[in-house]
Amino acid sequence: MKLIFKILLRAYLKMLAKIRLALFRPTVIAIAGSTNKTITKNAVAAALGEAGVEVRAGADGFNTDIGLSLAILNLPSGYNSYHGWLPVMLAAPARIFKKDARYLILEFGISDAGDMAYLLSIVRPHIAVITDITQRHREGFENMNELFEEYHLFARKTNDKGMLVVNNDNLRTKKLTATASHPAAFGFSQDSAWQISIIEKKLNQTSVLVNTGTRARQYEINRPGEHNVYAFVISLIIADYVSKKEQEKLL
Amino acid sequence: MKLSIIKQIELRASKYPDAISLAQGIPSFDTPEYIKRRVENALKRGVVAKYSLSPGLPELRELIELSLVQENMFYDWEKEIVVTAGSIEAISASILAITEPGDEILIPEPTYTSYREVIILAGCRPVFVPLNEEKGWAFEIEKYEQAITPKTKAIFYCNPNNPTGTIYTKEQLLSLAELARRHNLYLISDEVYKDFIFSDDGAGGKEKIFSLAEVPELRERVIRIFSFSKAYALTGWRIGYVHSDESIAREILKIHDSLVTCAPVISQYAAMGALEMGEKELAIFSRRFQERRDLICARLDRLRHIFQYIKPNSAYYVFPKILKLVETKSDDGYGQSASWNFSLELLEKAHVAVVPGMAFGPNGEGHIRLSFGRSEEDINEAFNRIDEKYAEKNI
Repeated sequence: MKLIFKILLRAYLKMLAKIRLALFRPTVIAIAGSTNKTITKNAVAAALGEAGVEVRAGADGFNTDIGLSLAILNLPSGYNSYHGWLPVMLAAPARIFKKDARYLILEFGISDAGDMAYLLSIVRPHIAVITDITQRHREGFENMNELFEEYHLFARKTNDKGMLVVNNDNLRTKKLTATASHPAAFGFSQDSAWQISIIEKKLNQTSVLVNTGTRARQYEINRPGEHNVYAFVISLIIADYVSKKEQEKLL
Repeated sequence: MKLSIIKQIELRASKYPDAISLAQGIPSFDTPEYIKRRVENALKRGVVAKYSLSPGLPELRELIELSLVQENMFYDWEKEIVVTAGSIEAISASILAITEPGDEILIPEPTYTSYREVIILAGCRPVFVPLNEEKGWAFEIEKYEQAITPKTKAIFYCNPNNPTGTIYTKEQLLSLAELARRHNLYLISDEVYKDFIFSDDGAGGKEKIFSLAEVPELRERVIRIFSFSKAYALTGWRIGYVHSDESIAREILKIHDSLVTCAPVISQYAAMGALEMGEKELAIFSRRFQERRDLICARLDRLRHIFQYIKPNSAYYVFPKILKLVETKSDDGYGQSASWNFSLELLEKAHVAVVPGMAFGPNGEGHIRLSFGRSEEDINEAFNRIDEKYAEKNI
């Protein structure tokens, strides 16, 4: 009974989410990876918001087969109760026509083989981010190569005119740079297009230098930890890209 | 060392089949369904049988970091957050990490009974510093100043406080922090009740307590502890966490690893469920506890000849002063304690278990702790029995 309900719910929400995407055609920024998706999503949303871009981010952790559709429709979850799902299902059709932001940031989460293909059947990203690939959720896959193939698919299905942002410090994500027509590799590694050096860590502040080859600039990040540095640099890359695209439109 | 007085009372109460316990701090609610489903899924996926990384599952620590950001606290999940087997393990690991045998730790009291035992277990000496009941159980900084010696290593407090339900103000906490800075002391803040904040407009759970862990300049001094037990009805799952600056968290992790290797993995999935989906249920719990606080206070108001109390603003305890002291002396080592004797009398004659105030430190003597974590039905039945025993006409 539960399984049938889940299948029907998933199909219903997917259909409505696709209609909404077709109607409003937002630029989709999808964030995938084993860790740091939500933190990165929030950093990107903040950066675009500060740049005056009309942006909406899906709810934290809404990154699964059902969660992704909910994020697109901007609906809450009914979690594990039929009673909880009823108002969500009733509200969903009206959401199709509710105006949305021009940029939509979504998380893509996978835990089993085939998950990525399903998520990509709902929406294909214009800008794709892969934060890292670790052993997390390894149990849902035959081996690490099978898990890697999920991200490979994600990279390949990213819009040809879009951008793939990858972590250049992670050996597996680094390989994906070759997949994309417009890659942006970030990391502490010397060969990163967006090369990061940490200057100083003080209390919960981190001073970093980001060097793009043509420009080197220092930033203060009000968060501790390397993952927050990554999230911040990803937000810089995307804000830079979006700003250029917006300017192109004006010309 | 002695068995905690709360546990001693519970053991005595177990001999009375019809006893109602307002003693132990257990919420009456069962673990919410969404948490059970989350755990079921983890079981089905076969991911709970093995150890996790010692500091905890990365996905859980990441969720904890995100929840801390919402509370204006910024800590690195990779290096500054350690998931523990409940708050008591977090407390034990923290104290063992920062002290040497013979060190002293200041504890405002009355406060949670097990702090004393953990400090003694670490070979340290608990130094009780009384809270001022007349000022609503507030800190008096000058008393801390007087209690500090060269051996003092830390100030360890519970905010909101158990058993008084007091929320320390930002000013009080900052004064304490200034004192800690001057004397180079750690500050250990146990905030397991932080989600239950009561207000008289009935908007329970909307406000937020101030934590010293919010102050970046204090991060190398403050160790903050949280448990999922109370907020999400997970007492039996034994899951909590501690966070501090990397330099301290690294030391805590070493102790944590040698104590338990890692927190129970199945419980870590429960904690993930709590953080992912728990907001709504938490608000419901908080409202229910506020209703129960109002109920227990109304029932105490009918016993003004026996009790005098300060209305708690948080947690799920009220800590009334006993106006009618019991004369009889028990023969179990606590015979001189009025609150112990009163509690035993209440258990023997009314079959209602409460915790004697002496369990929470010398300043708690003359009081009892009543938990309103229990159901309305239990609270009413317990007070019906107390009314019957202590109605004015009967004494």
